[in-house]
Amino acid sequence: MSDNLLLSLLWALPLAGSVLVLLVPGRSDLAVKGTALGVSALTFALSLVAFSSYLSGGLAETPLADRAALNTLTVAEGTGAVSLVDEPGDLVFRGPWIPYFRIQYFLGLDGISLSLVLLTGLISLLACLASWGIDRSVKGYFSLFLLLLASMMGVFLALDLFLFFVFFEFMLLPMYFLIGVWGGARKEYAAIKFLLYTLFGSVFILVAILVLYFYAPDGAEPLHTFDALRLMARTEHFTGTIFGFGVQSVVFALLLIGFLIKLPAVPFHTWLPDAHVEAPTPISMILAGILLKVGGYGLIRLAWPLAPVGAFELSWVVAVLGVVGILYGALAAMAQTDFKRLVAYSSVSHMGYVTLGLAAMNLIDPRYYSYGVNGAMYMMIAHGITSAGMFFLVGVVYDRLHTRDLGQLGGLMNAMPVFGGVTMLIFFGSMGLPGLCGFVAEVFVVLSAFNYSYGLAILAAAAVVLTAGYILWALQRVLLGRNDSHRGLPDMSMREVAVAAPLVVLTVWLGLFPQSVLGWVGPSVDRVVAAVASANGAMPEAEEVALSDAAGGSSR
Amino acid sequence: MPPSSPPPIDFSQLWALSPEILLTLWGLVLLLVDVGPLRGRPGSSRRKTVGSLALIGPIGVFALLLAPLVAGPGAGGGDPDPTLVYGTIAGDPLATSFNGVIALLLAMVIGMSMAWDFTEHWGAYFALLLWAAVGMMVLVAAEELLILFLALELMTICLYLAAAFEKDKRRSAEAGMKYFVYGSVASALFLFGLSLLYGLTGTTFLDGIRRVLVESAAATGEAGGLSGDLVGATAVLLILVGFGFKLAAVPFHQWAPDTYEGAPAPVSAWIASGSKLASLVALMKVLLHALAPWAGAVGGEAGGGWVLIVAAIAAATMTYGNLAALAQRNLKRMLAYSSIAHAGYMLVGVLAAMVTVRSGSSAAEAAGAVLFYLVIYSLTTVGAFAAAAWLARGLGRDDIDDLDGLGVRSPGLAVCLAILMLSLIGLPPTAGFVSKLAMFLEVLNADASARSTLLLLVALALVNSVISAFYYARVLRALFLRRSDRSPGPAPRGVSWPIVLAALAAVGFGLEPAPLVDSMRSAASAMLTITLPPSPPDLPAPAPVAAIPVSGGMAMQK
Repeated sequence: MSDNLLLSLLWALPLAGSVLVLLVPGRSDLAVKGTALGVSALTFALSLVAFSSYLSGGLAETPLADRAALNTLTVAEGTGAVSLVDEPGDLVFRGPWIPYFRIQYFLGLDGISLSLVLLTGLISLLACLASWGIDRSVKGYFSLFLLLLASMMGVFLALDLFLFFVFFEFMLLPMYFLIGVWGGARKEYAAIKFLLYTLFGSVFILVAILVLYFYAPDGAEPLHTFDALRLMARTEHFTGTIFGFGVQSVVFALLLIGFLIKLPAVPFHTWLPDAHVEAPTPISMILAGILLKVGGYGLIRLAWPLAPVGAFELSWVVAVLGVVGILYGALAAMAQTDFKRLVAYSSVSHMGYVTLGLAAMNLIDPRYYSYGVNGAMYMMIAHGITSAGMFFLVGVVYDRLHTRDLGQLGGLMNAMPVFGGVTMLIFFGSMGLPGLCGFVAEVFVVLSAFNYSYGLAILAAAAVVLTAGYILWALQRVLLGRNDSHRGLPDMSMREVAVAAPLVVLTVWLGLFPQSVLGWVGPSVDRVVAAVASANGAMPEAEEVALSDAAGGSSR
Repeated sequence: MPPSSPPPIDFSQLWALSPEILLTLWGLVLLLVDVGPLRGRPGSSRRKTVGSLALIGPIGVFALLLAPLVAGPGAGGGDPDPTLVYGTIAGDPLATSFNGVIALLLAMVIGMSMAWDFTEHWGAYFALLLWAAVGMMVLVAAEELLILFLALELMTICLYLAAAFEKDKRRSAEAGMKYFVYGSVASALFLFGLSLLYGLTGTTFLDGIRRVLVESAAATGEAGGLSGDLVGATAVLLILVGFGFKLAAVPFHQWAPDTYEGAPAPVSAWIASGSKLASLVALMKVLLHALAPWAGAVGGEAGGGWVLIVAAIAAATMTYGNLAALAQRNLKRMLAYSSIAHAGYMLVGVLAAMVTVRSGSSAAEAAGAVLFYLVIYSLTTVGAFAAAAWLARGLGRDDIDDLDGLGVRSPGLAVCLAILMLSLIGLPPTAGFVSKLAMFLEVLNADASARSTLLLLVALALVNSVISAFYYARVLRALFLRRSDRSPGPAPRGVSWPIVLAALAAVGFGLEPAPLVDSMRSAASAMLTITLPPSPPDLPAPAPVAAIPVSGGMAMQK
């Protein structure tokens, strides 16, 4: 399968599916659900095909920029004739879109994006299965669901900033309607809050993109490109100031605000609890499992590499934001009486680790910096699995009892033993119990933070106690104790077990064999780290140089 | 200057004016049909008959525009001088393509008008719509100040009357009255500005004005701009008052909300789309072509000019329009403020086009981006007003809440309306997004010295787009998130096809903007390059004698 076909199908297939669902004849809900499930499954299968060709092609060894450089696109000035070279089998495709503004249809995958594409495929498939209970406007629901899937895939595939932005913005609409139509009591409020927050964030991103496109230092021409990789390779172009601030700082700050709103990090997080509580269960799974990762992906893929110097200048602020997020999210989670809200705040807390891991820019020894970014990446994957599972489990309870009030739950372990076991495992995975997936990520991040700032690291490590506190307390209030009114509740159905099982397996697998993911994600992450570090003047061979030349490295 | 005897009018030139002539005559036919054969028939049957007949007008225009393509080259093209009738009217690609756009908008407005009975005088009503279209077409093509003013008045007077046509509603009379009072004051000021301009330059031809201004700037050695030139500045300000009224730019916008809300929905749509479209093209012709030497600098190192005034108006217009729209509950009133806001965005584009005109490299691209935006905005706005017509027909009112539950009752049209709203917000992948971004890209592409000012304006415009999402999302909310017992019933055909057509345009040009962008770009380059022959024998060229007292007068002001 050619790169173009494979990469384009990853987003075009769900898009076609969203139309197909509308065309399903008759009023049979089952046919609609079946079609949507089939399309989601096919999309997941396609992402597996991409994964296998990534591994079999040994693509983890070649940097994305090198692969992209082999795929060229030239548009003749006068005639507009397009000639493109597509290197087969390298998972990069570059085609023309709007030649006048040099906007390309530029798709590509490396370890960072591929891991999230896989996550998107899996979580969407499970969320589709979890959507079986939807009974209102079924066609509309599944059509929007697949539209959302298409745009999320597009975000992770796009390497052209304009294309990225189009997918990024397009994601809002299906989400707005999915929350607004199928949501809970305060759905209108939650939907518009989500829409406005994210739209506001995307303005910052758009301005940053425009600055990158048009900025020209004195005596030089603007780059006039939306090609993210080309811009990353030319970060030295962005020296000088606009409005008295360093241009890289401006770009970084703009991208940071835009993506931190999406992530969300603490001062910008207030849309998240509302959106989660009001959204239907499968949409909460997608929101926590994938949409939040778009923010983190934007930071790793765009914010740091595009403005490495600006990132280093602001890294301290970002790191503090991360630690505040960890602590605040954990404390807020502890105070909740609504089960779903508790899980939502735990997401805020976990995303704080992502922010901290990215911001712990230890340039004296970039190895530790690389730990942090790998940890952040791992946290995104692990959290994508556990949080989707947690929201699903909350939904399972809600379907049976129609309440999420922690005060009214309790004793479910007796009534629903399978549910109890699964809940224990997934919540422990989120808590970071050694041997489960969350632990690996937290260790990496805290390790990196120790080599960045003791104070921040101690706070972040101390937050593990808070995390254990709210998770264990929540488990106690939900599962333990006796509650006769819950006697006779049906345990998880086969469909629900089918949704939970892959998440359980992955929670354990990622905890025991982190190398099975880090082995192919890590090289891509390390290259990003190396590029950012060298743009800031750090020596690439850190180990020897750092010891002998520590003063020189730190004076930067 | 000896009275030259002009050569007789070349009647073959009338071919280029055939759309205007057709619509004028057809309006008369409609009037006669209404009072003749249809006399005594009930209103609703006359509405359908006359309305269907009126649709022949825009269809005929399309036929006339397409005729040269079918007949092949040689029918009319190939003329090196694209001006007609002594250089007063242009027959360039701009005029041709905008004749098509105006005819399309006219057809949509006529379709909407046939939706329900809001008046008895159908012959007069449709004739006025057609004649307003004639005014717009001439306005787009005008190359001379008098023609421009006459066209402007023809268009506006027809619209004054049409706005007051729903006679059993007091708000409609109020709408017409407010529009008329504000409009006549603005027209008077506009005419005064034009007369000052004529006094300063001795000519009424746009290109002649430009030439005189360029020469006088060269003679005095000034870099251009208006600093110290009190009379010139007054003329520019007065002209901007006139155009600002037509575009509903702050602070000349007060009429717009009341008029849009009170007038029947098709008339509001016609004011918001056709009138705004034609006026903005005329504004670009006057400012970018004739008054370009007075533009002044954006960066601030040289003297001031109208560019700074337009920048201030643009910033105020988009911000005020969006903030005021937040508080609206009535659909038409909300669209009125939204159209004010969009006028602000477009003025930013005009500004950028000016800056690029001066730097010269890519003048047509920036102006073309504005025209592209203008066309997309007009189509989507007319589609949105069609929803108001639907509500007015079914429920007799047109609040946003009245749209409740339409997403369930007529999902197809609701999706189309949602697409229009997204396009108005400027969300991808609709044409609203592409046109907005293309315009802002051209704005930033403009001139390195002006870039920081323009970047601020663009950032303000983007923040404004986010604010606008809040009130456009109210429509989405009403359509899909709410349920209601009251329903306007199924949409009549006259309402549904404009909505569907506009939505198709919004999606189609969003995904594949290139054809429209290219044609708008060539239209813009035609607009900016029209020059009269240097000293045509048959042209009442600016008298060279007049230039001396003018430059002396300007020198005295300094």
